[in-house]
Amino acid sequence: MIGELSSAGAGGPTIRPARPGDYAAARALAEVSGFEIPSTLAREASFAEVIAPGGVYIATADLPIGLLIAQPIAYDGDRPYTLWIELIIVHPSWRRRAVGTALYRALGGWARQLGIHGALTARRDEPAADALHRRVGFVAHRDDLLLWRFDE
Amino acid sequence: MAEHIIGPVAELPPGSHRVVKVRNLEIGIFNVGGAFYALPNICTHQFGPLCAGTVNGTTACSAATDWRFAWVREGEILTCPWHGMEFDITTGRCLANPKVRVRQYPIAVEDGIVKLTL
Repeated sequence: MIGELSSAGAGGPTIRPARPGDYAAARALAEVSGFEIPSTLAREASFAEVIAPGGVYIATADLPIGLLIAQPIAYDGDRPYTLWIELIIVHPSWRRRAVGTALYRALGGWARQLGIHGALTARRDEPAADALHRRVGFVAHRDDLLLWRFDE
Repeated sequence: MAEHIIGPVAELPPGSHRVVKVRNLEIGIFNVGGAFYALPNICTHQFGPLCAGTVNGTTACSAATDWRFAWVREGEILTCPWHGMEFDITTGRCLANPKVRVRQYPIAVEDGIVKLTL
């Protein structure tokens, strides 16, 4: 599977699709990173449901240090057509080390393989998040969205 | 997934709709003849604000209309304000290309309160 063995760099963390067993660690990562726990991480069953389509990636270095949750918001037949980036978290001590970029690269590889059209996320007034999204390939779209096209 | 309270049913009468923000995603809540539907506020075409569009019907020409153009399904069709793409609110399907559909989020009424699961 794409992303299974990808790495953020030499000696960097491993990026792989999230598994149901990652629930507790993913929740702990959100807590230690200062994120309000989203409903997708509120219960183990919710997490299993969210990772089922395949757009959830985790970065690990012994313990999970990064998490990216993308969810389909449109479909072409049975396959996802457009993704919504619900959440990206990087552990505070691993920030500015390309973990977020590596998570997005893994997602992009998976999405292109499936022929997914693009991903969207909400625009935020956070310079670090903004810089990450522009580096990955997101561009401003509408007043409130960033768009990353996989078919260009 | 978790339940999010949208509001009392009385505030969303049949034929009305409203866009709400749940976490970081805008969702359109629609009451079509007493049944509730929830769709993302993003068109599949050019990602316009789909749920800010008008709710109306569409034209059809089939055996059911005696092969004459007729206005049908009033109150069930959502038209994106950017380029006029039409979607069936009750299924999320694009009328021009029914293979393409926007996601429908579970929504229910409990004790007079509209609740969205996201």
